Amino acid sequence: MAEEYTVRIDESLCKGCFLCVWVCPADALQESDRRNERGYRLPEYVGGCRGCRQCELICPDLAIEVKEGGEE
Amino acid sequence: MDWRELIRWERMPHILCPGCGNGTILNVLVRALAEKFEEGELDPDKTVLVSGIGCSSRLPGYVKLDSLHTTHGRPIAFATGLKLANPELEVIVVTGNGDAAAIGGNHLIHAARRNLDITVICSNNYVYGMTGGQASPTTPQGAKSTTTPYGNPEPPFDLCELVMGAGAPHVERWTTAHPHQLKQAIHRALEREGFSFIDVLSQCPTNYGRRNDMRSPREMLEWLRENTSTEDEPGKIRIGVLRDEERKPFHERVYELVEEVSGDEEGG
Repeated sequence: MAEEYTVRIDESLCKGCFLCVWVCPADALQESDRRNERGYRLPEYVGGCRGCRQCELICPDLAIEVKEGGEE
Repeated sequence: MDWRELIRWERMPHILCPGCGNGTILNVLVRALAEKFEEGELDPDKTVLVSGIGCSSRLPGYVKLDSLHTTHGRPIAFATGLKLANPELEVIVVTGNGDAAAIGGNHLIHAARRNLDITVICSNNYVYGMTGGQASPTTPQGAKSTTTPYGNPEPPFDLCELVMGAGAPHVERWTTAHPHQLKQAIHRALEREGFSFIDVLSQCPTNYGRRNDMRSPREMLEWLRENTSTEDEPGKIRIGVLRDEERKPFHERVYELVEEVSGDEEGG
């Protein structure tokens, strides 16, 4: 079944603070070992978003977008 | 309006440290403003952001609205001039604890006393973050900073009590761990006539957290969540709507007086 929501992370804006991982009540975001071009470790979306949009709102770097309608 | 249209993307990513609370305030502020513009309650051409000096005062530079980046501690003084010269403007001051409570402390209390019709969003991260983490008037007693390496011997200012004591009609306190509530608070502040003050307890992991056993932004947010309450609980910082009243704003009284006095001259 297609997911209702998906979380998109703009990797060029992310600074790897992982507040999104901390705030997510569904454990839909996790720390990864991948880094962006500036060397910051990135979070990754692992599925299971319930659309509360707390990650979107807390992100200090405006790097997160919760999209309705699952993976494109 | 989509909030993305309000960001100066050519300046992003911003200069703030990873996990900086000011970033969350910027995020919440542009979304609240975009919603207000969308609802037609505010006009982007008549909305001005004013800031002083400090990390939080850099935020208006990332927003595609008219703004004034003023001298240290003086954003409220500039905002007073703006509002009195053109009362049609919606004036929002983005300031920090050092800017608003220390060097600009007098402007803050007198704007509250006069009931100047502006919204003041104060990012209160307990230190002077930009200059390396010196103690400020809101540093908690016992907290470590570059200028209080053995713990701060001074009691801090409660900024909400301060402005309420000076007569501010709309006062709220939230934290960066409550971004949704903060967005609603900004909505309310923009709707209210008169002086609105939002004290946003915020995290500076770089210059406050790491000296006080909270090295990561997450630890700081956990501290903010655990040590605040929307009810009066002993040992916890009270957050929420602390006062919501109505009082005639300063510019209305000034313009009424001008009309009254000039009318007298014409009549006499």
